[in-house]
Amino acid sequence: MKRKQPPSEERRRPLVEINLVDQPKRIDLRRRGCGQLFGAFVVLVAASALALAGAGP
Amino acid sequence: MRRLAIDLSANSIRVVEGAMGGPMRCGATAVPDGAMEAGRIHDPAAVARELRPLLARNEITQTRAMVAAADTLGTFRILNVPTAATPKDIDATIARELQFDPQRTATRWLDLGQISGGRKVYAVAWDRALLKNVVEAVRQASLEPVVVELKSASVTRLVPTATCIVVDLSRQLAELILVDGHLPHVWHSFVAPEPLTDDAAAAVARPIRSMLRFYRRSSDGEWGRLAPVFVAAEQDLKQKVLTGIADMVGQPVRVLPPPPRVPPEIRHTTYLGCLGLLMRRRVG
Repeated sequence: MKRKQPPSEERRRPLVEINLVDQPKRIDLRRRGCGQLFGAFVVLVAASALALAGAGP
Repeated sequence: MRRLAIDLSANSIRVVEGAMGGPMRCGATAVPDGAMEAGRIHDPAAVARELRPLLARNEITQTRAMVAAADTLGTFRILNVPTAATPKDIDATIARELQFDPQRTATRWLDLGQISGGRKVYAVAWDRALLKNVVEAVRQASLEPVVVELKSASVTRLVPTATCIVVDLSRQLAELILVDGHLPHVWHSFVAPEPLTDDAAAAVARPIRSMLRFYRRSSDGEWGRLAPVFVAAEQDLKQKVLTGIADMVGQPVRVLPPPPRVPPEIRHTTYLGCLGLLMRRRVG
C-alpha cells in the first residue's frame, strides 16, 4: 500500500501572492450570499408597483 | 510553461524568460540617469526605450509580463487579526496600522489563514502614481503587465529556510528582507559599501542589527540565534567578510544558495526578483 507522503516544504509555504494590478474581487457579495441583492430587487418591484398604482385611473 | 519576469526594483532592468526547471534566457541593462530613482520610475518612456531592445537582444518573445516593483513604491505588513474578523474589521486594522493618504495610496490585503496559531493577513499599501509609472513603462515596451508585486514578496519565495534575513548587495541601494515563517515581515534599504572589502562587514552589519532590534521589539517575538543571514552579492564575498558580519550581528551568515531548478548559467544573485516571480503559482 502506498503511504501518504508528508507535505513538501514548498507546499507548506503560505502563498504571499498579491497582484497590485489585479481588479479587486467582489468577495463581499459572494460571502454575504444573495440576500442583499434579493432585498434590492424586492424594493425595486415594490417601488414600481406603487408607481403603477399611483399612475392608474 | 514559459513566463516573462521583469525586475524594475532598482535603477536597472533585469529580465528572465523561462520556467523553473526549464531553460531560461536573461538579460540586464541600466536605465538613463533621472529615469528611475531608488526604484521609483519618473520617466516611463525612457525605461521602455531600454526595455524594448533588451528583450530583442535576448530573443525574448513572451508579451505577458510579471513585474517586481521596488518596495519604495509602498509598504507592507503582516498583521495578526482575530479569527472572526470581517473584511471591514481588517480594512479598519490596515487603516490604523498603515498610515496613508487615501487620495494617493491604494491598499490590498490577502488572508493567509491560520498560521502558527493565529490568523494572519498580508497587507500592502502603495503609491498609485508610482505604480502607474511602472505599468506605463511596461506597456510602452509593448508588453502586458499581468502581475505586479513588491520585490520583497518575490525574494521571499527563494529563501531556503522559514526564518532568515536576506541581504541583497547586488546593487548600490542594498536591500534587507526579514523573513519569518516564510513571510516577509520587514524591508529596509541602505547604501551598499563599495567595494566589498574586509572593512565592509561593519557597514553591512549595522543595518542588520538595527532591523533585528526593531523586529524583536515590535513583534515581542524571539528571533532564533540560529536563523541565518543570507547574503547575495555580484562579487564573490570573502569568508572574512561573512565571518565579520556574523560576529557583529550574532547570527550565522552565509552566501544565499541558488534556488533549486535554476540553470547554473543564470546568476541567481542578479535575478533574485525575476526568479521569485517565476516561482509564483498564480499568474494574473
